Amino acid sequence: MTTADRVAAVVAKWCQASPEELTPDTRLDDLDLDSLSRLETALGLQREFRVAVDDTRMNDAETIADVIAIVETSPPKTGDPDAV
Amino acid sequence: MTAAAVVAGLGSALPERAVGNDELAARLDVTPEWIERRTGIRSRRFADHTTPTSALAAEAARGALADAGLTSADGAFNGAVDALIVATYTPDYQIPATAPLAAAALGLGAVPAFDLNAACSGFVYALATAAGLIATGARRVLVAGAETASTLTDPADRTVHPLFGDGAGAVLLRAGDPGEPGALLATDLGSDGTGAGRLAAPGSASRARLLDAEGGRPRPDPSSYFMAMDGREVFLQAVARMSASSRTVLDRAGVKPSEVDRICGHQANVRILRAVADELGAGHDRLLVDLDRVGNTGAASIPLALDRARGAERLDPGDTVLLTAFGGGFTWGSALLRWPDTHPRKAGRS
Repeated sequence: MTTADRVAAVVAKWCQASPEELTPDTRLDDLDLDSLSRLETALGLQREFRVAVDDTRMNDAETIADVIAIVETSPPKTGDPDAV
Repeated sequence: MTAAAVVAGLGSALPERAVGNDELAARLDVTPEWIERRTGIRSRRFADHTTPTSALAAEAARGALADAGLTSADGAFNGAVDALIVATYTPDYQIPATAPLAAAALGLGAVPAFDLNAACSGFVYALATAAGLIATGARRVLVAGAETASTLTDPADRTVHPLFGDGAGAVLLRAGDPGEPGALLATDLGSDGTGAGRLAAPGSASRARLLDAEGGRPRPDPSSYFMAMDGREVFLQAVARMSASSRTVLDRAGVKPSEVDRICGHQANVRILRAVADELGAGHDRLLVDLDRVGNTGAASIPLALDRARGAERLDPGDTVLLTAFGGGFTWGSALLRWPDTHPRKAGRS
């Protein structure tokens, strides 16, 4: 599975879409993702990719492509809860 | 051998008045579905001014005593327990503490009775404290979590007011063997006061607030009085701290996450509970959820959820049960126990 596929699978868990419907151009505002869903998605991405996702970046993301970029540029996650 | 704390009985107390999302939604200019979707909460109970925190604590404690088979012909329980701890962040008064009032209502006699404020983590803190008392010689300790949190939220604040409800839950702990059903296996507690401003209520004690609300006094400045919360930061910290603390307590007990039968987290938001389960790799079917009917009842939430789950036969004797909580402070704590062989409560008991 590509990074894009894995990102789509995570995002799809917290919105009303299926992973197949999500393309890099899909806008998060069109997915009915509320602010809490974006936090949940950030936590889901951390588990899937073992990276420390900055939730403020997740909050500012506009498209699936932005989310893919966040995953690709986030540092590895440590065991420290403060790293969330 | 050091005595272990063993759960001998549970009790609950909920005020009569149920307040559904529809009632709040109209006033707060949101929809009932908005509240439920964001929190999982459908209803909560609000106490009236004749039902302070101490009365709820005493009622729940009385239920725990009866559940453990301790009855009293004259309604007093003199000598029945060696201490009463009331976990609450909504005490009746600044002084006296809530626990002596509840102890007097129960006729416990001249036993130590004190409050413990670790906000929504208070029940887990109180369990650990009670286990310490038992390890140093106490035979029976009553632990109640009790709140009238409705008094501490601004009725006009849509982000906070719908979340909270009033109620109490109690457990009776007795000295026993670490290997027997009901035994508390391990605990973990923590705090981080640098997060103090993220979840705070600077106001006065709850009895005065109830009188304010019922007595028609003018509403004070909400910023000096009511609870305020940075929901985003609290969500993230709650998930991180509850997950890490859960792992710690499992490590201490030598139990794998896959061996946990039920997770009873502090009932703040079902989405926090699901995220904690995800972090632990546990299926959502293992979560005990009670907030749908009572909202966030602070230090009362875990014993209320346990008592409901037992009544619904979602807890079996011998089950490994993980308790985990997070609250203002910040504070957090977890405990692991083996579910005791108590009788399910009879239908119709309050």
